[in-house]
Amino acid sequence: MNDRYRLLGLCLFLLATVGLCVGYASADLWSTPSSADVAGDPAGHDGERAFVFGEVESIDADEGTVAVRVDSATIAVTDVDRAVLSQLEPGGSLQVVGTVQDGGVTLAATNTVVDYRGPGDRLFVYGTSILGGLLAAGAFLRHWRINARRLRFEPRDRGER
Amino acid sequence: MAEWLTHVLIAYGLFTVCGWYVDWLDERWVAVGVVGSILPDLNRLDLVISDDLVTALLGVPFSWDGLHTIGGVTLLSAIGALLFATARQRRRAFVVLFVGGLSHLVVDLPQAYADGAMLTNLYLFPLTTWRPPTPGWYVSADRWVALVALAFALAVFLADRYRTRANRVARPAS
Repeated sequence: MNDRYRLLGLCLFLLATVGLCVGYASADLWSTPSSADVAGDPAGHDGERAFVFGEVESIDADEGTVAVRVDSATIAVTDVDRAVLSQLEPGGSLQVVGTVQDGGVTLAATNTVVDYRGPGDRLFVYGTSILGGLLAAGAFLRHWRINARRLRFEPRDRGER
Repeated sequence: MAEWLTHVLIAYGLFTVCGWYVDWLDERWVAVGVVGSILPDLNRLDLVISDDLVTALLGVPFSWDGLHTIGGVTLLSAIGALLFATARQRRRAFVVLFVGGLSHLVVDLPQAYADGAMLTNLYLFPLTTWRPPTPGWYVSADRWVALVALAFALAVFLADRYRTRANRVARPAS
């Protein structure tokens, strides 16, 4: 395969990848209302059971509620377990399954999972991810060099394997 | 999703062990497979060029999360493979990139979700929206996951060095 056909293949697969991301965004992959559904039309899902992922904005330990940013909307999550409340900080990340109430303003939690307790957890995940990315890039570049002119990778030592 | 360090270490261990049985799977292809293990998380491009911006530019809904799927892994592996020079390199690159990407999705599957089911509805796009129960083993911020991955990679690294040394003794250079 010469470079021209390789470039043509690259363009076709890149187009297909964009198409996949468009198809993914357009597909309804959830059997229950998801974050995008609840944030997009909160009142329309009143009384329904929803599963959302959100970022913790504030915690009211006395009331047992957590204000959570779900996509572009802020929703008050009620009935949150005390043990969960005690570990949460603003900047954390929370999954909630619950019933949408009060026209989509609140979500009465039946179950929660804490993804990030606060900014510290987020920092750990981002920090280790950067380290992992550097390790992968370092391992790759140790064995392969980038030929930008011909848009391809070439082995650093001689011989094809 | 688990952080990249875990994905990279697990992929290193997995491909190194496979290399004991597959002749061509040497260090250079292990390195390509390790890169494959972070392909699905290219959906983080959303942090640089947001879904909303691409949607506005294209005029149709767009989500980078489409990359964190079996379909995304297949296409990204094909793109990656086409960046290699020879047909044999492209075939090998596709295999290790695809298996690396698949290992990422498999590692991400048993995480804890509030509704008790795996996110196979997302990861298996465009094949199915089926969702089996999740064992809920971890969330991405659990430190022990990275420690287990590190212990696994270290054990494989030491075993690999031992094997290499044993092979040298068994077949001394003439």
